[in-house]
Amino acid sequence: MQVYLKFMLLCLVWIWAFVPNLRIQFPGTPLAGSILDVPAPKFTLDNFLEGKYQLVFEDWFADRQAFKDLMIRTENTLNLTVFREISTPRKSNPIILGRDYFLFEKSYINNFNGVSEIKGDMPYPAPQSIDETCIRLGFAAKVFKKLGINFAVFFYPHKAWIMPEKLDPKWILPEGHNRAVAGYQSLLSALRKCEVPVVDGAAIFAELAAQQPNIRLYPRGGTHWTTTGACHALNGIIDVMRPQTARYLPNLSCESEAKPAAHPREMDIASLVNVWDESVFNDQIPVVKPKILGANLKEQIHYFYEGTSFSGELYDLLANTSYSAPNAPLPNVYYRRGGVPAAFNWDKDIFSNDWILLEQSQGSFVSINTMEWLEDLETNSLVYQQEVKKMTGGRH
Amino acid sequence: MAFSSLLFIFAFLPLFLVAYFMTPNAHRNLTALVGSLLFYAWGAPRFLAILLVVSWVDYSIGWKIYRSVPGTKARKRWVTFGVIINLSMLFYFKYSNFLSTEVNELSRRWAGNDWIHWGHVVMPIGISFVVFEEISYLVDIYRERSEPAKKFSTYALFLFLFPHSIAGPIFRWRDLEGQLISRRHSVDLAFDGVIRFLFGLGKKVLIADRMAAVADVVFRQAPFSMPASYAWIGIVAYSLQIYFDFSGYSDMAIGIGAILGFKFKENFNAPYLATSITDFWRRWHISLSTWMRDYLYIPLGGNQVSVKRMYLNLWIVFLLSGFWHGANWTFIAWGAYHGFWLILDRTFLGTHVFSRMPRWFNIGATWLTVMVGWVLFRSETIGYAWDYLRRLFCYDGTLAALTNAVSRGELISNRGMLAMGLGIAICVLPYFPRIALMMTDFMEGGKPTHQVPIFRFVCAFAVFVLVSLSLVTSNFSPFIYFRF
Repeated sequence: MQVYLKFMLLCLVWIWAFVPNLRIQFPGTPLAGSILDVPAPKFTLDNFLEGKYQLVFEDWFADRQAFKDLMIRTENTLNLTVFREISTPRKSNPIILGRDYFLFEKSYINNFNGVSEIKGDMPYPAPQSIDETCIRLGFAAKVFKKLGINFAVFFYPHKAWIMPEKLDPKWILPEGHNRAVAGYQSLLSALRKCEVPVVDGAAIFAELAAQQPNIRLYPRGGTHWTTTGACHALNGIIDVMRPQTARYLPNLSCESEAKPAAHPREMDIASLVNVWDESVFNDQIPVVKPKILGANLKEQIHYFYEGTSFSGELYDLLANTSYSAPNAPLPNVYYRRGGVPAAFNWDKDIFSNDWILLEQSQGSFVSINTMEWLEDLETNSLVYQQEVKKMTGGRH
Repeated sequence: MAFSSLLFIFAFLPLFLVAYFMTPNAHRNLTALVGSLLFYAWGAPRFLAILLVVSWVDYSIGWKIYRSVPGTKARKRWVTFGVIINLSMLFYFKYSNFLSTEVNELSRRWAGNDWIHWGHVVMPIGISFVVFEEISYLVDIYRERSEPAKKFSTYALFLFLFPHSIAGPIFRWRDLEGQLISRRHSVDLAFDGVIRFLFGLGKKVLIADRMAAVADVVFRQAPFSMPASYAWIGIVAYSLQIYFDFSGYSDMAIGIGAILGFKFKENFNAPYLATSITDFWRRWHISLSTWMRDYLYIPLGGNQVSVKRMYLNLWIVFLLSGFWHGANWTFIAWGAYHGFWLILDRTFLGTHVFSRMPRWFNIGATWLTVMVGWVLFRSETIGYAWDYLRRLFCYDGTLAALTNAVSRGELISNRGMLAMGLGIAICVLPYFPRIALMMTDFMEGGKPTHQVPIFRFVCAFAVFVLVSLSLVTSNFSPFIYFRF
C-alpha cells in the first residue's frame, strides 16, 4: 500500500513536470508588456553543431510553456505580497516598488541618484562636451529666432525627482541626488549662457508641489505625468515661447475634475508588473479639461516636437484646446530609435513650423536623442546650413 | 542543458525516465547511454565525437594494460601513454589559450611581437571531469584494483552518464562497475531520489542563483567604490552561491542516480562546519580531493617521504588543484593559498592552536580562511582580489567614491536576504548533532523505508513549485562548475 502511495506521489511530480508540454490552452489573461514572440528554430546541421539551434530552441521552449502567464503572475504576486518587491523579467528595465505602492522605473532612480543620466540612452559620445553641445544648440536657437520660429529645450521632470518621499530609502544613494542636482543645474546654466531657451520642468513641478502638496502630478502606477502635470508643463513651455514672438499665446487653466479610476496611460508601469491584482496601484487621478485663459487663438500653432513618450499628454492638451493642430501626415515625435520617416524633408518639415520643441529627461547631459536630431539637422537641412554660414561668415 | 533549465526539467528528464523505465531491464544501460549522449550532444555537439574517440582509445589501452604482465615495463608504458593522451587533451582544450596568451604577453614586452599565433580553442564542457575519470580508470587497472569494462558501451556509460558528466562528481570505475552491470530499481529508491533531486534543485535555484545575483553586483564594482560591509556581503553571498550551486548540483546528480538505481557517493559533508582547512577538504568536493590524494599525492610519495618533501607534495597537489579549476592565475593562487594553509595545519596550527580552541572558534576561523580564498577564486585578476581583500579588512564606513556606487536595494533584494539567511542556517545548524541528523534524514533521506514521509514529500513538492515559478520568470543561470 505504501509503495502504491509513493508511486502515485511520484506520478504527481511527473505530471507537474510533463503536463506543460501538452500546451493545453489555458484560458488565462495574456501577460502585459512587449513580449517578443520567439520564432520556431530551424534545424540545420551547422546550426546544431555550433550550438545556435539549441539556444533558440530553449528560448522557444520557454516561450511556449503552458500555464506561463499563470506561473508568472503567481510568482510576481508572491514577490509583491510576501517580499514587497517587483520581479524583473529578462530584457526589461526593472520596476521598483516605492512607498504607498508607488512604482518607479529603475532608470529614473538611477537618474535621481546621479548614477546614469538619461533614460534608455547612452551618454553622448566624446569628444562632445557640454560646452560644445550647448554652442551647437545655441546656433540652432539663433537660426530659429532669425527665421521667426519659437524654439525651446524642455526638460521633463520625472516622478523620482519630484516625489522622493515615495522612494524606498534603500534605493537612494547618499550624496547621489546632490550630485544629480548639481549636474542638472550646471547644464541649465551652460544652455542659458549659449542663449538657448530652456524650460526647467523640474523647477515648475517642484514649485507646484510646494504650493499645493496634494496636487497629483504623477500617478501611482505610471511613468508619465498626469494631465494636471502635463497641463502645468505646457504652461511652462508657453511662458518660454511667449517672449520669442509677438503672437498671442495664452496660458491654459489646469482645473481638474474627479475621476473614478486611473487612465490606462497612467497605469503603464503597473500593467507591466503582471500580478493577479493590480488594484493596489490604482489611483483616483483628477483629469484636467483645460481651457484657454482668455480669448481663443486666431491661428493654430504648428509645432515640431522631438522627444519621448512624455509627449502624449502634451499632444492631447494642445489638440483638445485647439491650441494647435499637429503636423500631418508625418509624426511629430522624432524618435531616432524608431527610425526617421522616409518622407521627412529637413527643410520643409522643420522650417514650416511655429514651434520647435526638443524634449528630454532632466539630467547632466543633453540627450543623445536630441544630439542626433541636431546632427541630422546640420547635415540634411540646406536652409539651416545656409543660415549658419551667414551667421559665422562661412567659418562653420 | 543545465539541470535547472526548463527544457531539462519539463521535457528531457520526464521523457527520459519514461523511456528508461519502459525499456526492459537488460537494455536499460543502452537507454541511459543514448539519453546521456543526447544530453551531452545538446550542450557540446562538436566535441562528442572527439570525446567518444578518446574514450575508445582509453578503453583499448585499458585492455592492453590488463593483458600485460604486472610489474613489466610494457604495462607501465601503456598506462603512461594513456595518462599522457588524457592530460594532453585536457591541456590542449583547457590551457592552451591561457599559455599562449601569457607567452605572448611576455614576448610583446621583450621582443615587441607575438611568438605564438594561436586561434581560440573552445573547451568542451565537463572535460576536466571526463579526463580525471579516464585517468583513474587506467591507473586503477594498472594497480590491479579493478578490471576493464567488458563492453565499450558500459565504459562510455560510466563516463557520460548524464547526471554527472558535465559537472561531476568524479566517479571511480571500481565504485560503479558493479552497479553498471547489475542494479536494483525500486519505488522506494526512486522516491528518495526524486526528493533529493528536488531539494538539490531548490538549493540551486532558490538559494544559489539569488546569492549569485548579489555576488555579481558586488564583484562588478571597483572594490574601493563600495563600503566594506558590501564587500563582506558580497563574499558571504559568493561563499553561499558556490556551495549551494555545487552541492545542489551534486544532490541532483545523486537523486537522479537513485531513480536510475545507482548509489553515488556523497560529494559534500557540511564543509562550512570544518574545523580546519584539512577538515574542509575532507568535506568539500570530496570526489576531487580523494582523486587528488589517490592519483597525485600518493604517487608523489604522499606521507612516505621526508617532512619537507611531504609539505612540498601537498602544496603541489593544491597548486594543481587550483589550476584544474580554471586557466587563470587567480585559480592557481587559490590553490597555492589552500596548500599553504594545509601545510600550516600540519606544522603548528593543528597541534598548537586548533586543538586548544573550542570547536566554534575553529569553525569560525576556518570559514573566514575559506572565504578569503573565495575572493581569489571569484576575482578575475590577482590585482582585483588584492584590492577586494584590502577593502574587506580596512573597514571604512563611508563610500569612497560614487562612480560605480550601488544602493542597498540593488545589492540585495528582500527575497535575497531570506535566501541568505536560509543558506547560512542550513550551513550552520548542523553544528548541533541532533539537528545535523534530522537535516540529513530530511534532505538526503535516511535508511530506505516503506514508510511514506508525507511531510518530506510535501516540502519537496513545494520547493518544486517555487522553483518552477522562479524559473519561468527569471534568467537562466549556468552552474559554476561548467567552467571546469
